[in-house]
Amino acid sequence: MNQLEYRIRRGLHAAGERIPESPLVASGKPPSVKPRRSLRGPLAGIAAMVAMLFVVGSVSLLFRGPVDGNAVSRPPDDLGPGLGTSDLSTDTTAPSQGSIVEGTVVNGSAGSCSPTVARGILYLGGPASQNNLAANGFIFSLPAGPTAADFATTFVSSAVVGDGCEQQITASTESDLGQGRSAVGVDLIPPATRADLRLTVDIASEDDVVGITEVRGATSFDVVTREDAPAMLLLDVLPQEAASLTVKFRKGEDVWELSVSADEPQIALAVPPSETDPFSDAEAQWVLFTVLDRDGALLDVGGALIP
Amino acid sequence: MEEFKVVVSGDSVGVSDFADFYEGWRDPIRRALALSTGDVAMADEAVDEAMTRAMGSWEQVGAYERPEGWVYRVGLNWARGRYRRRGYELLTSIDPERPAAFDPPDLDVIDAVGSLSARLREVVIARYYLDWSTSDVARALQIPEGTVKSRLARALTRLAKNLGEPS
Repeated sequence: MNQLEYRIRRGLHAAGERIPESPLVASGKPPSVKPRRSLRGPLAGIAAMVAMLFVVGSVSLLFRGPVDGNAVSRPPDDLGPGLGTSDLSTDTTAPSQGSIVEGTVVNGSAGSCSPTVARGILYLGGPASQNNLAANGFIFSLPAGPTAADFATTFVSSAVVGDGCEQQITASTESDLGQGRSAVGVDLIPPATRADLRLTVDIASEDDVVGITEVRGATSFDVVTREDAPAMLLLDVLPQEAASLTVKFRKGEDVWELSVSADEPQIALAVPPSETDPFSDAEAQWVLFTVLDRDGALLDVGGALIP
Repeated sequence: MEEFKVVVSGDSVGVSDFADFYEGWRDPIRRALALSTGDVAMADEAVDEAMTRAMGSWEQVGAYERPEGWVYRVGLNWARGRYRRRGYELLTSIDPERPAAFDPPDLDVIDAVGSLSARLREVVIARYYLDWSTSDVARALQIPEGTVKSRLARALTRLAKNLGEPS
């Protein structure tokens, strides 16, 4: 290698090192759900950076498991443990369109533990339907039927406790109308052994649509096709070492990225409530996810092209 | 520890080899694509696109002598297609105004490499950034090794002139 080649090599390597990192999930950073937009011209980069502040994910999440419409609405003084996972009770009525769920308290417990945990469908968009509301402003729109509290409680009960652990589950919603959002917090009594994967769901209402703006917790998933729409089927809990997970998928012109990072002891997945970009009607083309431990070492990577 | 598997369409995908490959090569390929296209955001998308395709065909791609070459080529081709569909030419230079711009310590080298045509630049990046041999570059880009050498020679001649170095 002559002097010229050496200089080129050294210059390129130095430049390569200066290229900003692209961590799969930056530990400790706020979680985000955002599309990374490719650039469309010399000024598009600035636009893209701005756009990242105003993006929306409208992936719809539907549980086919314990949330089955059997959830019973009860008054607040009719709470109590001892209910099966598929029999979780809630003291709230289904949220009307445009309302924010408030003051909900849900109690429930389930039978013996099993290694099988939550199964649900994380829709990657596609045509809007009853099961895929894909509304702007939400990472997941709520399907018709179960209430926000049902949804959150079942998600937690099965994702954290597993199918049928003897745990009491309490969920409550808290509204912060000033922020235009509410949250459903779920507590397990006593704490489940998988409490590091405890999960909470934030819910907001906007333009007559109730949706989820933040989910903390994660499971693995399967890529499937449901009702002609690609979907991810939630499967198991993450390995104990998992500290972060990133899901990327291409939909139309954009690559969307759902970053789930652990922040002791929770794993968070969030989207800023102000994001307003429309979600492409195009089908997702591929999905890629990575799981990292706390040291940033890759635990797993997976994904698929979606035909 | 419970084994964490990815299940796609009911088939368990053994990704251990791919995971190793992904961990080792995603970042270098991404950076090489960023240097080749002058567009870090495009490189991010391109490497994800190419890696996902590699995973989808891992049984075949993983058997290649240089799967990373395949990923580099697929990423480059994908980026070219993106620019074409958008009505933009592949960058003819690395534009410092571009977002997520990096701060290279030897701007002259970046300017000189950026002034090369895309075809020449891709070869230069593969040879001098990824440190691949000319035969590896040829395999990666699916061009004859003689073409790689001639492109390198042409590139070096221009770079020498632009950098004021003896060729």
